[in-house]
Amino acid sequence: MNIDDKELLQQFKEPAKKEIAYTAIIKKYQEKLYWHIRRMVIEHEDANDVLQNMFIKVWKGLENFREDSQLYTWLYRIATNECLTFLEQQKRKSTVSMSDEETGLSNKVKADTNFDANRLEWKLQLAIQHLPEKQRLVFNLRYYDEMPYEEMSRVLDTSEGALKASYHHAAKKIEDFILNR
Amino acid sequence: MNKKDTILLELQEISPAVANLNKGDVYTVPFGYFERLPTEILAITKAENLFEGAKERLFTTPNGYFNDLADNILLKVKQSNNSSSDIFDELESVAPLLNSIDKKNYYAIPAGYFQNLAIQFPEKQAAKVIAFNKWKKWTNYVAAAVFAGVLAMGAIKFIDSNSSKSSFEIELSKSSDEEIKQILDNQSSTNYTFVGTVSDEQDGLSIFEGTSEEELQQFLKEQPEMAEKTNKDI
Repeated sequence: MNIDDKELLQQFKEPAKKEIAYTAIIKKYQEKLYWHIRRMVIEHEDANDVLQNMFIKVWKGLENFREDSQLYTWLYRIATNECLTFLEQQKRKSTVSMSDEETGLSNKVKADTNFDANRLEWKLQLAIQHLPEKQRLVFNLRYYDEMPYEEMSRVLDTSEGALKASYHHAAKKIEDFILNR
Repeated sequence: MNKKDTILLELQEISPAVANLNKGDVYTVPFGYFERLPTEILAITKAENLFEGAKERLFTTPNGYFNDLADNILLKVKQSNNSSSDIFDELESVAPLLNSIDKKNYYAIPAGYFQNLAIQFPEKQAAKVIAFNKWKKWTNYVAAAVFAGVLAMGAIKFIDSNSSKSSFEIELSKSSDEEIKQILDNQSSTNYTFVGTVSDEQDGLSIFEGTSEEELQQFLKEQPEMAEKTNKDI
């Protein structure tokens, strides 16, 4: 494990340094985790809610973290699960059918103040929202976070082979979307 | 003619338009910049002098440290680049178009979001204390007791009826056929409507004693069933 993370975990276990260590962990990983969440839920307010919930779980669970994986892997796992829980809740609240789910997310992408339909980067975002949830996660983790498949398999609890296949399919679908729409 | 005027005349010969421009500076400097500048430069100079003094080598390095340093750094650089290169190559073989797209995050976020991010823990609420209405509590107990009593009474009655029936059957099975016949024979025959039973010939004929033959025949005509029986007996 990263030496800094080891030290932070050690400090977290000391009552006098717990809050300092916790704040340091947040500052170290907040942006990476925020963007990982944001790319899944799209809207800033939703991403902020999910991020908050995620870090509250970190506070409660960090003392029992077994250190059998990297700290950031564990954090990504919690963030991913919180994303999926949030999206599941959104589906239950909403009356839209599965086929309209992508349209809902696409509309959220288009509602972003920076959205520019002519830019390839925004077409990429729209294309990503047309992927199934798990495939979206795999693509984002590999493409944006450049996560090795070995780490990704711990985050998503899926075999490396399945992840590779999922990523390849996702990339092909996205390319097809950008070229043909 | 002074230098300034010489330069001005020279410029007028080259370009009268330029010569006639306002020479004032358009760029601005922070307020008080030049007043502070000397003090700041002095402070920087002093700090450098301190570092100059500390240039003496107080710390030692391992033997051959600098010989291998370049190779070690290069190796680390390659290792850190490996994952990016792998990912680039992977995507190049699957969807090369995506490699040409800028990966920068384009979604809008509020200004200063990460600087001001603070995790808001939910407030612990004191558990709600619900006080029971004592009267309601007692009426509930009474209602439960009444219900239990009704159930118990019903159960007892059910059991009793079952047990009495069975005791009758048990007693009946103990009795012999002779005893049963005797009981039935001793039952009163108040429900019977016929005049009498004819147990033997003598008893049957005695009721007609003192009656003439013609009266008997007339009687038998009126009572056909008696005629049959009488004829049999006779």
